[in-house]
Amino acid sequence: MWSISNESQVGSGLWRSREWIQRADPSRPTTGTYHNDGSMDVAVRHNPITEGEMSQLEGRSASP
Amino acid sequence: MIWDECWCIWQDIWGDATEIRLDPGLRDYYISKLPPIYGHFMKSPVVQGTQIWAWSDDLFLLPNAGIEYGRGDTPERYTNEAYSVPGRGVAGDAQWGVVDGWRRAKPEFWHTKKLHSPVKASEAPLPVPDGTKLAISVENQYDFLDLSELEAAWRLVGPAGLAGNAGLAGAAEPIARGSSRAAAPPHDGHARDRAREATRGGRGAGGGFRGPGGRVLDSFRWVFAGAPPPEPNFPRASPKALQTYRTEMLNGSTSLIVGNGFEIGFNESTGALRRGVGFGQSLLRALPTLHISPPEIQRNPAPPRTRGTSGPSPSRKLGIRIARAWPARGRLPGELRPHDLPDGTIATHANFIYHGPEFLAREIGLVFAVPEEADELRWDRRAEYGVYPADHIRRPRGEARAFDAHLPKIPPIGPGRATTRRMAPTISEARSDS
Repeated sequence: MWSISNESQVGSGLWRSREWIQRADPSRPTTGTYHNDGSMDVAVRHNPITEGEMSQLEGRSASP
Repeated sequence: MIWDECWCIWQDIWGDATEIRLDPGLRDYYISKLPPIYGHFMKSPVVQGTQIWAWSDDLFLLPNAGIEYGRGDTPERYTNEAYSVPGRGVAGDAQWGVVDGWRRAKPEFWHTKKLHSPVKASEAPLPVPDGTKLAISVENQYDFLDLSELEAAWRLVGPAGLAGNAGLAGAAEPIARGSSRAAAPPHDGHARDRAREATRGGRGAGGGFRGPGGRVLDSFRWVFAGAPPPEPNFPRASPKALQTYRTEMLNGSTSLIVGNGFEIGFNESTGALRRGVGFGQSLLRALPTLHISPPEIQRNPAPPRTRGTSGPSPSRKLGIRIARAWPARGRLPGELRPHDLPDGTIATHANFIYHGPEFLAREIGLVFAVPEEADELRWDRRAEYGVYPADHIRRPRGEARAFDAHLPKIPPIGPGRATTRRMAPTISEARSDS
């Protein structure tokens, strides 16, 4: 899995990086911190963490 | 879904350095809330992984840099003594690894290892084996290994040491998230007698698992339900009936209880200890009493302590209700029942019940006073897990000396920091520790 960012919003620059990674290595999924709206291959949630928030986000994510 | 930086250790960067220095036991709270989070992850249909930041401290030695790490104003660091000198220096971000810059395991390293152990065994008290099998609930969290592919062993532990051993039988398929039950047949069929022996000594069983290649995966310790707590190894007085006296002293009427080789006296008005000698030595200067250190006095070197007999005390403003069974008579609350103590010993029990609103406290415990010569402390207490490395600050059984010298040295000895690199105790160590 390729991560394009850590503790960062994903703007146009990082999005172009994601597109380049997908072309360079289409065998692996990509992800990025602070980006869990469903547009990445794998959603990422940063700290802090609570069980309530885990349950809430699980309802919005599709099982692999 | 990936949960990022969800196991991070927050220390020495967000204003908690002073607290950790005052009470290294705060590190135990790192693990206290994590098991249910981990359990949720393991059962989640969408979570594929989690991450910690970071494995190692983000610190680097930089000659002549002085102390230049952390974020903002961090008023106190345990490295100050060692590195705030010419020619030395340390720079970087935070000490938030489970190992430090010298790759020495911190207490949180063991917490992390236990939390993520692929084989989980409940350490809840076990019923005394009543036959030839000891049943232990085991959960296999491996993705591909069956539990039968691991080497497992357990032993009963009695007062005289190991009392028997056997392998674990049974199997649990990979990702067996429901508990499975493994039966362990002892090798010679005398489990009941040995279990009873172990129960009398307040012990239970110890054991663990080895993975492929013989690497120790995890070790556990179980106690038998109803087993009495282990008794300290005190000198035993020969049986003799206790005698009670009343004497007038300058500070008031005192009840004296005299046994064979020891004598203990209480002020009848206050319950304060007036005399506590045994075997020719002064043993006790003040009885155990409740100690609460509210956070607002956290830096007070002499916090107020509850003293006196039952009832309201200096902690009255907190609404503490203290009920005790004092080994005394007359007007003192409580009762003495020497006929229940045929071996000439005195047992006391203390119950502290708080009925007031919730409040914060940085320390809650018992305090008592002993002579300065009593400089060795041994303990047996409850902990999050049954087995710890011998140098872990949370080890449930151990000993320590008072007035230990703390000298600046390189690498620095931090609060609660292990002095040696210990990854895991062996199964035999776990057995001997059980």
